[in-house]
Amino acid sequence: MLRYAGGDVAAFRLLYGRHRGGLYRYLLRGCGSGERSAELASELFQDVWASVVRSRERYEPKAKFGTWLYTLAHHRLVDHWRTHKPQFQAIDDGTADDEAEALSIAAPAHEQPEAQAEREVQRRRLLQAIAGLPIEQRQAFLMKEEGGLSLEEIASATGVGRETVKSRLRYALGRLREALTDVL
Amino acid sequence: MSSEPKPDAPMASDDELDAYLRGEHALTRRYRDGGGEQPPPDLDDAVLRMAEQAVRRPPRRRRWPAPLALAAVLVLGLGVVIELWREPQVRSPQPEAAVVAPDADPMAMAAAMAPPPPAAMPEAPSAPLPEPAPRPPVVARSQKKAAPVAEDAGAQAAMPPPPAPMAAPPAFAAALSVQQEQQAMQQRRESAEAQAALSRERREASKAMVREALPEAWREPLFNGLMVGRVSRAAVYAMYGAPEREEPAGSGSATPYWQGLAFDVYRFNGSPTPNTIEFYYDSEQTLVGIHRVWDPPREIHDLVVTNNHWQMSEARAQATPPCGATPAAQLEPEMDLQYWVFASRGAYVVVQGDTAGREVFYIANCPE
Repeated sequence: MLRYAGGDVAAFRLLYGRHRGGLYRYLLRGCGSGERSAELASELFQDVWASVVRSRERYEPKAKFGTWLYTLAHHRLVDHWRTHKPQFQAIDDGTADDEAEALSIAAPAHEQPEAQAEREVQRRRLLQAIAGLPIEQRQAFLMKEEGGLSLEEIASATGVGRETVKSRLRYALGRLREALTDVL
Repeated sequence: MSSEPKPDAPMASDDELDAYLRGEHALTRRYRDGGGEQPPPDLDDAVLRMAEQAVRRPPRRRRWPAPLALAAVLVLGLGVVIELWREPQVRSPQPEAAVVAPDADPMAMAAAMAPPPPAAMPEAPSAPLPEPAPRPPVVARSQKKAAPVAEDAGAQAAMPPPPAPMAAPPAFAAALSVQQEQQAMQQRRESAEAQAALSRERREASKAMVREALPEAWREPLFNGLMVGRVSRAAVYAMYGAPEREEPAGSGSATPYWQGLAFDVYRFNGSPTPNTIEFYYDSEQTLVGIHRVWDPPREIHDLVVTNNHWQMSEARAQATPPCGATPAAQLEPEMDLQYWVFASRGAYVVVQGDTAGREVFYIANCPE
C-alpha cells in the first residue's frame, strides 16, 4: 500500500488481485440474498476500493492491509444497512443458478458431473445457512473465512471486544453445524 | 441489526472454536471447496482504472480553508498591534535621559547609562527576561548609541563594557551551533551506514537461505503440456483460446519477475476452486512465466499432489521466495507467508498459514 501511495500501480494490482475475490464475497453475502444483491455488492465493492484509493496518502501500516480493508468494508456495509433494511430470505429460491459455465484446465478424473452436482447442492445449503445467520455472526464468520482475519483483527474491524467476536463465532459455528449436520 | 442469540441457540464448544480458528474445521473445508463468486471483469477494470488514474493525476493544490486564513490574519494583526503598543514604552526613557540632558551630572549620567539592570538597556524589548547577559543584537545597538554620550560626559563609569567579552556570546553560539551541526551530521552518517550494513546483512542471509533451499538445479517448468521457456504465445492460444484480457508490454505487471512484459489473463471458474492464470511473454512472444492465483486458497496437498501430481517431498519450505523476488509479506506485514519451492519443477507455491496455497509461479529462468 505504501508503494502504491508512492505511485506504484503494480503494487495496487497485486493487493487488488489478492483481495478482490474475498472482499466481493464478503460484501455479496453481507448485502443479503435479494435479487439485487450482486448489483449492490458491486456498488459497495467499488466504493470500498475508492476509499482505499482516496486514503492512500493517509495510510499507515499499523495493522495488516487486510484488516484495514475489511474495516472499510464493514463501515460501508453498516452505512448500507442503515439505509436498506437487511434481507434474510433464503438464498436458494430456485432461480439464482446463473453461474457462468466453468472453463477448466484438465479437470481431474474425480471431478465427474455427478460429484460436481452433489458438491453444488451442498454449497447451496451452506450458503443458505450462512445467509440465515444474524448479521453480526455472519460478519465475523465471513471476515474469518474470506479475509483470514484473527479474533483480534475482527474485533478491531467491527469495533467490539475480542470476547464478543469469540461468542459470535461460537454461535455461528453452532448454527451452521446444526444446519449441515448430515454432511459435516 | 441486533442479533442476541436465543438461550437455546446451538453454540460451538471451546475445542471446536479452537479447531475452527486453526483452519481445521470441516466447515472451512466445505466453504472453500464450494468455490466462490468473483467480481465481474468490468468491475475489475473500473477499479484498476480508478486506481491508476488517481496516482497519475497531479495532486490538487490544497487551498487554505477560509477559517484558518481568517485566524492567521487575526493573529498577525494582533501581534502588530501589541508590538506597536509596546515599542514606545521600551524605547523612550533611556535615550531621552542621555541625550536631552547633555550637561547633567556625569555621575547621574553614568547611573542612567549603567548596564546592570537589563530592563534599563536602551531598545531592549526583551528586558523582562531573566537572562544574565543581554542578547547580542541588543548589546551591539546599545554600544553604538551609548559610546558618544559617554565620551562627552568623560565618565569612565559610563563606558560600555569592553567589546571583547560582549562579543563572545555570538561567537560562542556560532561555534556551538557549528559543533552541534557537525555532531548531527556525524550521527546521520553513522545511522545511514548502520542501516546499509543491516540491509546488506539481510540480503546476504536471504540469498544464503535460498541457495541452501535449492540443492538441485532449477528446471524449466512444464505446465499442462506446455514447456515454459520454449513454447510460443500461439501455442497457448491454441490450447486455451483467446484470453479474457491482454496486457501489452510495459503495462505494469504485478509479479516480481516479469516487469514490463506483455501478459494474458485467463480466469477459470472450474472446480474445485476458481483461479486466475497470467501467461507472460518476452519480446519474441515466447512464454517465459506463469502466475496462477487460487481464490479462495486451496489446501496445499490438494493443490500440489492432486492437481499437479507432484510429491510434497520434492519441496523445500523457506521464508523468502526464490529467484531474487521480494517477499510478498513486505507488502502485507504480519501476513503469515512461506514459500514451497519445487526447483525440479521450475515452480514454487506461496502458502498462507500452514496449509493454504494461494499462488503458484512457474519460472523459465531462475536467476539464482
